[in-house]
Amino acid sequence: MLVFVGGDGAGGGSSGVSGPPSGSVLKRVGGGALVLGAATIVMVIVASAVGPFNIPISHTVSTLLDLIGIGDSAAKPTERAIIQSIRLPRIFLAFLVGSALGISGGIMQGLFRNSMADPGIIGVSSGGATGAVAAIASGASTVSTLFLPLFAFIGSGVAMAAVFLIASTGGRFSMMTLLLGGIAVGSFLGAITTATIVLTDNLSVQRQIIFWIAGGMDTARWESVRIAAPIIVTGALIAVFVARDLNLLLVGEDEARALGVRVTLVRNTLLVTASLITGAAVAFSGIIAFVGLIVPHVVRLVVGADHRVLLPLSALAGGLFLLIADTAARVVLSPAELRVGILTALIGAPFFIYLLVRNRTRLSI
Amino acid sequence: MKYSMRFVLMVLAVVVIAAFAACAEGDVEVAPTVAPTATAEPTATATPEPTVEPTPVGPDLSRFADVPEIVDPTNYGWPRSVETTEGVITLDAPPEKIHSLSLGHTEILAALMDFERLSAVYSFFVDEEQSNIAGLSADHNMIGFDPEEVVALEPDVIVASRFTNADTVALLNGAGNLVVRAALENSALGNVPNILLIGYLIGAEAEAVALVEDIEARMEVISDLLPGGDKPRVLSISKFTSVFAAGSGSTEGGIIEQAGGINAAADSGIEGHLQVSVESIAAINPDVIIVPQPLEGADLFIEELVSNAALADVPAVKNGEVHYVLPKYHTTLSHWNVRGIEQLAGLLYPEAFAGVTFEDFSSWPDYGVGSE
Repeated sequence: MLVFVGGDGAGGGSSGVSGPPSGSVLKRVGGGALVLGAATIVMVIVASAVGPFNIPISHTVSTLLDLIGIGDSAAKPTERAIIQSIRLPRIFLAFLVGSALGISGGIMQGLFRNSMADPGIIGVSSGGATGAVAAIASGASTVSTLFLPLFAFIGSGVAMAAVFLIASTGGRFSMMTLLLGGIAVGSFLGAITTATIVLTDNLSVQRQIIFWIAGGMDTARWESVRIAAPIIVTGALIAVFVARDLNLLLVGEDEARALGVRVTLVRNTLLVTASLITGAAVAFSGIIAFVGLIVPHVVRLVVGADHRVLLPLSALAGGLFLLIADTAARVVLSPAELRVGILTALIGAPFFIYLLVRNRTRLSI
Repeated sequence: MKYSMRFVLMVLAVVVIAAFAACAEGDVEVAPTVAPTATAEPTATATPEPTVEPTPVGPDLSRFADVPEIVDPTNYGWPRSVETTEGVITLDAPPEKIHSLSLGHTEILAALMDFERLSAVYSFFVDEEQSNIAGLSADHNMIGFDPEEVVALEPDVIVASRFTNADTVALLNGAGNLVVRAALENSALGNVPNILLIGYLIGAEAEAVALVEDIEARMEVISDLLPGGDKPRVLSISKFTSVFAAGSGSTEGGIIEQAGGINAAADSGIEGHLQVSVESIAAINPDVIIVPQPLEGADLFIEELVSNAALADVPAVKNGEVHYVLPKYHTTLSHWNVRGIEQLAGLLYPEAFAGVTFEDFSSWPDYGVGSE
């Protein structure tokens, strides 16, 4: 079920796809950003206001305004502490992780010219999982709260490097080898994760691994945001910066080269960028299904395949989607929680099927 | 005629002698019937002890009548049968080699019989923070989780729990093993029928009754000392990367309620073990927090809880009532969770339990006749 992304023409087709940012592109990005930005602000207020601990909306709003220097908070110290040190870092991290998955999903779908590609397609998520499993099984995760994300990020990096080496064997880089190598490395690392779960006789270790794999934002702290944000924001900016060249790559590498695109540099930059921001996201959230697959897909249906529009809006839409999902995960079983990775798949899969059926003809599948 | 008279006299003489002899023998026979009479009043003598054996008090076998799995509660000989979800199994003789698939049942078996009768243990049995038989298990035959290893041990009977995978039980049954699937309850007294069943199964009725009576006596001490009035709301939480609360139906929750507390998680609608956030702890607002997890992680977690500004107004944090408790007492489903109840009751009501010393449970042969 392969879909050539460049040709679907949804929401404007390929007109102007390879040119410099035109007024049309800026208008579409600006319009989309305005809508998604407004929705995100509303969602930030809602997510700050709801949770197991009951905080009046007026206290929430006044606290948020106080935090940006407008007025004084009417909240009690506990309410303010809950908003400031528990809810807000979680909101920011959920948005960042969703953005990372959304934009890297868009990059991978573009590079592989396949709308079924997702950020984990070259084994980065599996690498992160193996790193996290190593931290949990070795007990390192109990020594410092930073060791688990650090191990996960290293795992993602090692997986990415291994797949790149495989794809570059013989001095010739091949996207097909990259894809197949990614699947093989992902399977291999998945087997290590499963073997660790099966072979450990420590039930708490098993439980931690299973929960981590299910993805969640419950461990979010400002420290997590401070570490993840620079990697994800920088990666997103790089991706948007080379989005025009990604459009040209969709036509074909030879054609892109003829149009002056430094194909190898652009492709490698995008692959490394997508892998790093996925690694940073996975490190702090675990594996979150469907966001990287469904969000760029939906955005493409609305705004078309121009990556100059698609990538920034995928980032915003991914962040918004995960923020909504995480807020739902926090309150749906309150005071207990659901893993957000479960919820994204539960919401994402039926919605994705609906879109596939509805747009079957247009997507040529 | 003269010889005739002599013959008659001789016969008479023999008859008289025989009669005399007969009378003499009659006196000998009477003597034993008199003797008990003479010794029937030992209490009036100065030395009664050597002559009277105290009547041995056997186990109260009527306890077994309430165990539904025992097919014939009047039969204490062999063969004997029990019926569990795996069907009826009949043991022709006391099982010499017993295999248990769960830690909870193994802890019960360790109190009822010689540990050597256990065919093998699993690696997590030696974890001192999670297992109450870590010492006994340390030098024991250890196997992995492959059912083939269990079959190779050729146990006379296998005890499975309600948590044992159905496929594993089917495999063991299929390999010709006798498998009993026995219950494990999270309440101390709820486990009584289960302990009696295990005791009956292995021919350790006296030990089982002794253990059950020990549990009941301990629970009676607790219920006698528990004060009336408002009960504290107790939250049992652990952090394994994420935070989990023990709600209704959990072992920890059962311990909290039996120790005179209110399970705050269950009270807030949490069932079983569910993930919660730090904010949820503030919303649950417990009077006491207990952390039954290995000490290494528990220390860090407790530090996080007491230093979190969002929890500063939670009574448990404000009043310094955040406590580490031994996980092996709070997560086990065997009789050892009574120790958790005792410790927690002492923690919740220090004044009521001041001066009361609770001791650990014994292992065989300290219960009943196992010491012979």
